[in-house]
Amino acid sequence: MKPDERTLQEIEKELLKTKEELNLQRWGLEKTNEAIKTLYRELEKKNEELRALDKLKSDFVNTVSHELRTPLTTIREVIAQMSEGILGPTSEEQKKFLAVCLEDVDRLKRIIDNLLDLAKLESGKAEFTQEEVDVVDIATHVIASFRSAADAKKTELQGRYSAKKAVANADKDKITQVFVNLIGNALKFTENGRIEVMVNDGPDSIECAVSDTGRGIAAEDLPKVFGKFQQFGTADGPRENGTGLGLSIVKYIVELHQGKVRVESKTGRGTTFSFTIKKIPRG
Amino acid sequence: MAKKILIIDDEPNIVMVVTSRLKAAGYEVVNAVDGKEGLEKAKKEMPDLIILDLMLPKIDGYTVCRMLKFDANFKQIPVIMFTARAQAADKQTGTHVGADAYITKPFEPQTLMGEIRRLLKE
Repeated sequence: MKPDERTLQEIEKELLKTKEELNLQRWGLEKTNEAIKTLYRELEKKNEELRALDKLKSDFVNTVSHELRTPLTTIREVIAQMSEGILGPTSEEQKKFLAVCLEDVDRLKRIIDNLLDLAKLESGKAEFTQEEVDVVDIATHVIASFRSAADAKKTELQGRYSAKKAVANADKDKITQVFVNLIGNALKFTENGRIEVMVNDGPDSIECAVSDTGRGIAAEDLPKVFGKFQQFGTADGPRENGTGLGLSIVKYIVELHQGKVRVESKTGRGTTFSFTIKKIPRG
Repeated sequence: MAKKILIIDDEPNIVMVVTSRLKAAGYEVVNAVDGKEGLEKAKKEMPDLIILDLMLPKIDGYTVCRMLKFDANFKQIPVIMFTARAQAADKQTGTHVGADAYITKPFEPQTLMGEIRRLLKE
């Protein structure tokens, strides 16, 4: 009996010790739990703050857009009415300068539009619709819209397509903008030359390219062409009436479609911009 | 008799320049500076066409348009939404509330005058 009793006592002691240890562990766990709860609350708060900031950023873009466009509207309209003679007789000399004003107001408007497009693309706030689009059809339409501008610069503008159709799930307006920006760009730097627009349909993606025989881009400038407000060619020609944002927008749009954009160029020989549009399954 | 156009816009400078263009084209022009006054003027003046800004004090442009298009006495009056907001979603909402045309600021004079002539069937 004695040894058993001692054992019982020992067991009781051990149990007490275990209980104490468990209590200690429980206390520790409770503390950890509290810490996690605090952390969770802090994260929630941070999350809320981030959401508010995100909304502020998006509201800011909309507000800036509105605030910049409104005064521009009045300025543009007064200039237009003055040159039309609605506000009284205007001399030919005055009309010439008013036309210059109008040109620059429109340029300012394009810069605002492009900056806002870019801000939306960068913040992931761009409205992105996915529908079945025929890239050959888009290219054909954009080429047609540039026809008279190409004729004015005595430049041949033609499309070369591997098939009658090249269909992908993409945002039609945005892909159109890519062609407009690239062809518009090519035309700016090409005179008495040739611009070719290529669309090659592939199994997983559509390969597109806009090639020109224009003045080309210097090798040291090539890595910078997709940067913002980069305008080249000031050394051998006047500054073009661009916004310096067109190619940044192209890059963003192409990447939004999980594609890649590339540029190859030789000074005096011409430039080729190529990009891919991945055939994303509809989702 | 000259056709009457109501401009509802809270920007006095915009009202001034648009009025000048419309008067030069031979229209009679009345204006209101917020949504509430806009609805009152529409009732009082019975205009042939309304040019309506979106971001208006008191009652916003969408609501003004919806109220006009719900009222049998006014729903035949063409409404041109006139806004500095250029998002595709805004345009969609405009069509949804029954606007007959949507013009963004800054506007091309030919576009504005073209839409007015089209909606007044001139």
